[in-house]
Amino acid sequence: MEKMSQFTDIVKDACATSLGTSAEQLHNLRNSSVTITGGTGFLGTWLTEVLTSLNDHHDFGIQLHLIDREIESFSRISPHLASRSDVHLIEADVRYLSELPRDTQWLIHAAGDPDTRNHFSNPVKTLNLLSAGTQSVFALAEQLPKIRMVLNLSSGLIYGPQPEEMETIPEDYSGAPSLTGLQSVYSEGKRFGEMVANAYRNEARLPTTNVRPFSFIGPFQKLTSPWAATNFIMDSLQDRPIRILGDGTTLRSFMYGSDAAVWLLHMLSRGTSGDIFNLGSSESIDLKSLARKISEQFSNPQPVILSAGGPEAQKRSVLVPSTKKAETQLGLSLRIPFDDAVNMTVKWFKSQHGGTL
Amino acid sequence: MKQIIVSDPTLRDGNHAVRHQITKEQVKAYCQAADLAGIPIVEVGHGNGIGASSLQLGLAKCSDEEMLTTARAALKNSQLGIHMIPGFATIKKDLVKAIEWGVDVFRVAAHCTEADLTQRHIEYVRTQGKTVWGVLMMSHMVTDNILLEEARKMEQYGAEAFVFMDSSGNYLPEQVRTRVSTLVNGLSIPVGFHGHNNLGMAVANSVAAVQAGATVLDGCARGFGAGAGNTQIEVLVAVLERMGYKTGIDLYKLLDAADLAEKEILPSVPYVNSASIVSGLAGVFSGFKRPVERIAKEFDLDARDIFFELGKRKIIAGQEDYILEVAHELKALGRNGKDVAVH
Repeated sequence: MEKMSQFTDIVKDACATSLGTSAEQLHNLRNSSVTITGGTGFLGTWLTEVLTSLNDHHDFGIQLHLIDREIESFSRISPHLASRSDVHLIEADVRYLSELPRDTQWLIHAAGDPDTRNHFSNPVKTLNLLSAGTQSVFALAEQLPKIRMVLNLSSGLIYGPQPEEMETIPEDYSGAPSLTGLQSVYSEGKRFGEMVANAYRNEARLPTTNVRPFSFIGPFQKLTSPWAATNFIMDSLQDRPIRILGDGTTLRSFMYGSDAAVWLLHMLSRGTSGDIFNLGSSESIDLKSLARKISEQFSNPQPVILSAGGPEAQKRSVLVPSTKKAETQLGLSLRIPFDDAVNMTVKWFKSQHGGTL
Repeated sequence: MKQIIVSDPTLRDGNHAVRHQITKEQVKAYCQAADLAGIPIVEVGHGNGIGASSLQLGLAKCSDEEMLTTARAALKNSQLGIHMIPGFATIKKDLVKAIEWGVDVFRVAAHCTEADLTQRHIEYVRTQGKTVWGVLMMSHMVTDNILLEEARKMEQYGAEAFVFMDSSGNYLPEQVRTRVSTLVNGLSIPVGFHGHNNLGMAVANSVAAVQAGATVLDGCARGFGAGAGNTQIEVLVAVLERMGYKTGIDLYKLLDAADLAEKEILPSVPYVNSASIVSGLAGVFSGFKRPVERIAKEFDLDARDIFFELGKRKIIAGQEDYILEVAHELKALGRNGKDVAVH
């Protein structure tokens, strides 16, 4: 019971910190109905935490519909959300939906599997989920009588490789993924999704926003996911050295889950149709430093081992967004500093007896 | 000086050559000798890997547990490796136990076009903090680019090295060179080569592989392995040292280990016989040699004709039933064992 309380307290405190004094700026969401496809994934869960926090502490009166192919694990990991009367779970594949909840005013389309391993194993299915799924959701959104905005979650990967001389990628950068390999299946699917949103905005005058998420850290990630941060946390939880392929100079940046959710709600309810925003942190960190930071959170810090790879592994990869647009247009800023984000994430996974392995 | 990791599957691939009858005592003796020689990785198990002992594939003399725990106790410095093919082996039945028995390096293998079968297994081993490599067999059957696409899948799943096998001993050095270059340029993880000696090219192909950028090579004592045998490890290490590559292996002690293997394990030293040459030319798995020869005799056919026909049909390990089908059809066509196939 104490563990469960610690587990939810970390999340609730984070939601309060990320919201800060900005709750009132989200007043458009008051007494409305929000639907999230892919609603039980990492971002969907954090959105649910923040929206229910707005209901509990600011009387927002939001009704929330979460649509996902798999809701069992959500009920297991977040029973405090799954059992709420203002949260409605719908188990469905968005490709085959016949309707969206009729009262939906705000729609966030977050369905899609970001696991790169599955993209390589099932490229056709991945493309189908992204293309047919997005088309299905927008076709149904067009029928909603009260719809005010459809926020389409795209991906930071749509820019293709970030040029080395470019410190952060701005939204108007016109790079694109390579079409020569399966590594672009997901990013191309997401590019197509953005065009679906643009087409519906033009042809059906459906209000749409495209948001391009980058890298995140926080509770509700799966430790078995192929992401650097989760791998490092899992290694540390199991008291074993952290292994990094290459020289560890790859640059990434990480945004905490509650900050990501709050930013998304601002983009959803305060943006204008046609907006495009990056979602992430512009503060970069190399993987070697990230591994050390995570390792230091444990009583028995494990060594970081760099393993030799081929020439490809020695190339310094960078993927860091510019967030100036969200900062200037919507006045947003990171409320959870990176060091706190790492600390809170590790604490949460420790409270879960080793995490959702 | 460039470091090459040499992995030794004498006690795994060699098991093919003795119908999987390697004993615990042999495992212990060879592991001790290999450990003394400083061989980085010693691979142990049924010829088709962990979990493969069966009537269909051949019952092993020793269980996986007996072989692996014996090897573990004998290896003080060398890492213990296994070969595993999803389907023959499963996570719950085999990999969980292999971790308990102290295996360090898991080589998860699949046919060259079926890397996606290895996703769950590679992921599982990675989450357990063990070293996992991806291995693709019968790699001569696909183009360089297809092999790269399949290898990339294994890299995405979490493999920390990629090894391609010349299962039928079909490659020539120039092919290996271009293949390795493609892989090294397209992958972030180290690339390795596992040679077979059907055309007498195993060492030459391995040398071509390192010259093109491979940093992992397999080799067996006296070449002990399926068909005409594998790359002969003692020759390989000697040649690598002479070329200026570093292996960390003590050559004298390696030669002692190979002498011991010849004396204690090998019923006969593998050599390139006529069937091996044909199997290599036809691009058919070396392990087909025994059943093809047996069936050829039963049907009064020329084993060489069967091999070439199997090669034309791109038959792979696990499709042994086709040997009979091919024999039936060749017989019906009137082949009587006296015709000479021209290819």
